[in-house]
Amino acid sequence: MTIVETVAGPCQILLLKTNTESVVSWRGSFVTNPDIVAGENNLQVLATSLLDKGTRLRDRFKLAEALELRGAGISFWSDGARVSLRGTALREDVADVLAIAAEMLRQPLLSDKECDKEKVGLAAVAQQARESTAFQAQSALLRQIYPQGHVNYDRPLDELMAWLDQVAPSHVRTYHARHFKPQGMVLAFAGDLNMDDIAKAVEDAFGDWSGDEWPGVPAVKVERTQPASERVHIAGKSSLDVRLGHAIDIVWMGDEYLPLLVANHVLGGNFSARLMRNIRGKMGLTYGVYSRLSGFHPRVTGYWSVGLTLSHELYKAGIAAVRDQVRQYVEEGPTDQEVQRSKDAISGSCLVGLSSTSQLAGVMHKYTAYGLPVSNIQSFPAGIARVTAEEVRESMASHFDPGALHLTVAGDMD
Amino acid sequence: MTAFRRLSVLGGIEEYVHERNGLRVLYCEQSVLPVVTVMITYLVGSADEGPGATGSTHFLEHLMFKGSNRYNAENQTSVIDVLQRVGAQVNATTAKDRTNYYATLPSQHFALAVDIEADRMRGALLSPKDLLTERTVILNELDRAENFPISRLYRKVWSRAFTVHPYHHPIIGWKRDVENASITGLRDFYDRYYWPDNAVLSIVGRLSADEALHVVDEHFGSIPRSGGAGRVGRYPEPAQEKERRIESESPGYVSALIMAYKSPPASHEDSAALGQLAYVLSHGKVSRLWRKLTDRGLTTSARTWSASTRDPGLFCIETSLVPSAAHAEVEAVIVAEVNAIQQHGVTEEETARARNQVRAYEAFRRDGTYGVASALNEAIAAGDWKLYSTMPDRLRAVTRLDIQRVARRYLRTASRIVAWHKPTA
Repeated sequence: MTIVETVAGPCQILLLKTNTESVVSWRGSFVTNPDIVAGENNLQVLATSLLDKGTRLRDRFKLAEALELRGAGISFWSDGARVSLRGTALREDVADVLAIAAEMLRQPLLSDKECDKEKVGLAAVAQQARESTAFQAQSALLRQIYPQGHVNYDRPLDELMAWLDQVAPSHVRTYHARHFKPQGMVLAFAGDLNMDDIAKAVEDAFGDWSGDEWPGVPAVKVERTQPASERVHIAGKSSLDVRLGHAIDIVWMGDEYLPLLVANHVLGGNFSARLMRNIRGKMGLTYGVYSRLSGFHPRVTGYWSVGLTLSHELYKAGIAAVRDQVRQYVEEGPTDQEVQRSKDAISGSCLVGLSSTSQLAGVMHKYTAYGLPVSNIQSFPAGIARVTAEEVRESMASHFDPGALHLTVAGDMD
Repeated sequence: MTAFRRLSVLGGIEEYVHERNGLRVLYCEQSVLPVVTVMITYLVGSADEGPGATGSTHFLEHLMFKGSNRYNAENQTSVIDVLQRVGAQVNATTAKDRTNYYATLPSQHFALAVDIEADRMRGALLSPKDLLTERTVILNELDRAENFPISRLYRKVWSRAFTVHPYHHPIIGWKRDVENASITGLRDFYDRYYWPDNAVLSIVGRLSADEALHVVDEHFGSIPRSGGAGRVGRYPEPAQEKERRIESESPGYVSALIMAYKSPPASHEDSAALGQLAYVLSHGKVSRLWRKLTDRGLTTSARTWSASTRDPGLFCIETSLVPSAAHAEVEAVIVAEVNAIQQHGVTEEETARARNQVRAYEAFRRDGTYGVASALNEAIAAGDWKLYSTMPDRLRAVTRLDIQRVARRYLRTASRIVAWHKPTA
């Protein structure tokens, strides 16, 4: 696997040629640094969703037609401190599609009319999310773990709806003008590509786009708070979604990250991990239960969580079983055999997780955007192999605390 | 290789049959990375279940992970443990016309995945103890699906659309049947359908055909053919004479409308034109329903899809309404667009756009070993794996007159089911 790294215009680009026929996928992002305390992350969501609603050069239908005639897809989304994009196109269409992406990013119309329509659409989607047990349980957990203003904090839906009511199109235009610049911009491509052609297409599309010096993402650390519980009542639901979790005081790919990744995997990383094996396999209490490390960045600490769904009659037994399993695991630690199995599984799944061009582009982008060498793709399995059982146990003892888990439940609480 | 006879080669797929036991193998080389997907498709789905035994196919799919002669928890070699240890992505799914089991894993472990499928094809343990624990797991799965108003609405649409044909019942089964499932019934079901001559093994990835077939013969070669029990017959659905309507309500905020029309089997010559019609109606932001519904602020989404079924199925238009939109207004817009296509046809631009979208989609879905195996699996279920290879050409050959013709033939008022879901406070 030979990944070529180069620069085109304001973009750092990564190129990987594969023998996939005709298809090229890409993934990219640039830094916007919204002021989250001031609610700019919501402005960013709204601005991003308006990118495909027309540009200063053509209306939304002509824009869509230009893409759909090529069967190509581009999507943009707000991604914390960044705006991200992904796309897939046939080889011969990549340059045209990148030019369209640049037009959408750089010259969106952001008209009053489209902004007002988009607000109605976002409000409707938020309204629908009110009755999603999975969304509500997860959102409540993030509010328990993080303070307002943190990049991982999730604003309550009521607040989002109220914000949508008062935000004006001019706010969106101002935010776009100030923040949509190619700071720290990375584009990663994989597939049936010609490297020179791609570099030229990026240069043509973004070459004269400039931004400010990027100071880098500030370090953010979150203190663990007293465990709390929250129940979100959603009438008429036959299944409950449950989350337990707490903050973790390390950063992505820092010294302790890999041992903790293995520690979590033994507990709830896949179907054969302890939680699924015991709570689903032996006790039959749930259809699915997992544990995860999420919300990490090289400068931002993340969180550890357990999630599951339960029928009403098994609600208490299910939560008690999860707490027992977690407590027992943290007290005893993993066996050497469990650690080895998880290391093998993580290494193997790393290869399997790269079996399409979009997956390859995604991983290449992530390492580079987060300021790490893209060679991590190849060295990651060796890094996992070097993790010792002792490191896993030490890391787990330092960072997993069953007594500090917040609990959130969403569903029909009657 | 001598144990197999090559039957055909089409669109990069090689088809083989095992001379002794009738197991068919579809092989496709892909070499982005040393990864392979092994997927076995059994020609049995929820539509093969009888009254009182609904959910058997899905229940059996769960139990197939609970242990077989050589791969089981007691030996510390359960299927999931062994496969996930080498990094495999493993799962199984049940549909109306088929059941599939698959693993995507590093190519060096190909033989392991094949051995597991061979062992559980005839050696599943199916223990009463596992039935008890898995029953509550499935009941939770059923409850989870019931949480989603649109899932509930689809269940009602299929039940109402098919009064006699077994597409009437949900894939997961009726709750009372799941609660009453017995190990004897599931064993009978297994013994009827889990044989090499009722299965197709798809292999997609970086390894040679010779190597793949050698390994398959080594593990499956000694399994005999079935005794010929095979599929039981399905009652054909009588023609629908007039429109059927469903209205449902539940507490919450989701407001939805589904309009479904009776459609031909996926292998039917008209299915390509119906596929193009679905693109014209709601694929992308130039499509008719996006312009008339979502862009006008009546819906948050509108999508159209044609069920890929072995027997006649449904062509579905699904919309999520914004809270202020009235169902009657959304329904009227959809009906008006369908009528317009029936009366005036579609434009050359719409046809060309749909053709290009399909061409790109076909290339995109071949990106990755799992994507190819999964598409083959659906074609196998529809009755002919060659649909995987021939459908792109069939789609490209569709004309604007074909689209108008199928709209007139299938999107008839008398053969539709209209379902509204409204939230209550």
